[in-house]
Amino acid sequence: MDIDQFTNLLQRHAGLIHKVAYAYCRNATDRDDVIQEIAMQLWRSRDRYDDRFKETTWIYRIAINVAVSFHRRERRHIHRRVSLEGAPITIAAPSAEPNQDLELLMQWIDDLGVLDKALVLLYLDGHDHASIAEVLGISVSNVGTKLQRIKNKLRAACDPASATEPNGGTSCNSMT
Amino acid sequence: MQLDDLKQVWAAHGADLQRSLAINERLLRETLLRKVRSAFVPFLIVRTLEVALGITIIVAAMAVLTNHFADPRYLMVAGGLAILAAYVTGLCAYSLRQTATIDYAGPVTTLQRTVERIRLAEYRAFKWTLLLGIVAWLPTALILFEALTGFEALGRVGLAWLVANIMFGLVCLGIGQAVSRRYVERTDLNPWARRLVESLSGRAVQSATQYLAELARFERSE
Repeated sequence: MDIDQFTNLLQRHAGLIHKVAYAYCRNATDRDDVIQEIAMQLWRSRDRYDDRFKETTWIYRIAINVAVSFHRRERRHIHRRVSLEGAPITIAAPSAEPNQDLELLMQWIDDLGVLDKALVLLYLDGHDHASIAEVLGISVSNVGTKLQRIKNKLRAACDPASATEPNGGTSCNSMT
Repeated sequence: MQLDDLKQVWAAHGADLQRSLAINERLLRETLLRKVRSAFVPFLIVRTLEVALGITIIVAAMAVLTNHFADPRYLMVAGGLAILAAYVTGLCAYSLRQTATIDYAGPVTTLQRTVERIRLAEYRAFKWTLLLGIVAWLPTALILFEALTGFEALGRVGLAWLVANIMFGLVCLGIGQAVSRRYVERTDLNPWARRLVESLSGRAVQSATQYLAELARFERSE
């Protein structure tokens, strides 16, 4: 893969990369660092790309691995930064105002553990159980079990909120 | 709210984020061709030097030990140093090899386990080097001095003085651990200080071990 093809690949999957970074880092500076690091790791791994897997599977694996590693590292070393003079990839503020449902979803995703978060991201992006299992390296049946638990957890988290907010307000049931 | 209901919200969010990411192709080209390679080199050099230093210490300690095999003092100090140096060098070599071959495109659980094992090896290597430096720096220095010059330094030092020195090291270590436990929660420490307090307090090893257990639980199909 030459650099033009690589740039093209980044542009095609910019949303995917940004979504992973967004889910793991709510801070804009951290997000910026994670995105640069994902791009670097994708470039490093480009020759090892196995075309038996889908391109998105490969990108998801790298993006999640980088984001989880960054999250664990930065939790301990808050001063450490990836220093790339003049970042080649820049992030503008999302054009649309975040809506209430998205805010709730992001809050809920924030509360998940790093691995459950990866599972939910893949599920929300429409991946089937087999493809989620492939990215995470767990069995298909395990994906099903875990997703069911996460769904139950979300339902349980939403019920008390709806009970305390009779007008709908910011409660989870505004979606249903 | 159901998780499935949120897929549309998430898709709209993705489309919005796709538009907010801008790539400067010229800068990206420069960064990837120049920095990706150079960013990795210093790490490999440091790790290689650590392994080389470890091997030198093992050879030095073994050379001294061979000359004084019947002397219990040498057997204890030089033998202990050789064993500890072999352990730490093994950890550094493991870390070097794993880091050089790491593949971020691997399954998340596999890669995360590899990364955490590398961290654990680094923490342990750092911890034991630190312990050796604080508690047994004098006997270690004497052995290395003897290996370099041939002068029987350890044999000329009084046993009581040697023991007193180790005891003083243990007291310093105890104080260091108490202080590090007090400061380990602080988030404004620089990376070096953080590494020091986390290693001395045992937090680093504990955190890595817990994460490995969390990964194992996540992988378990139950």
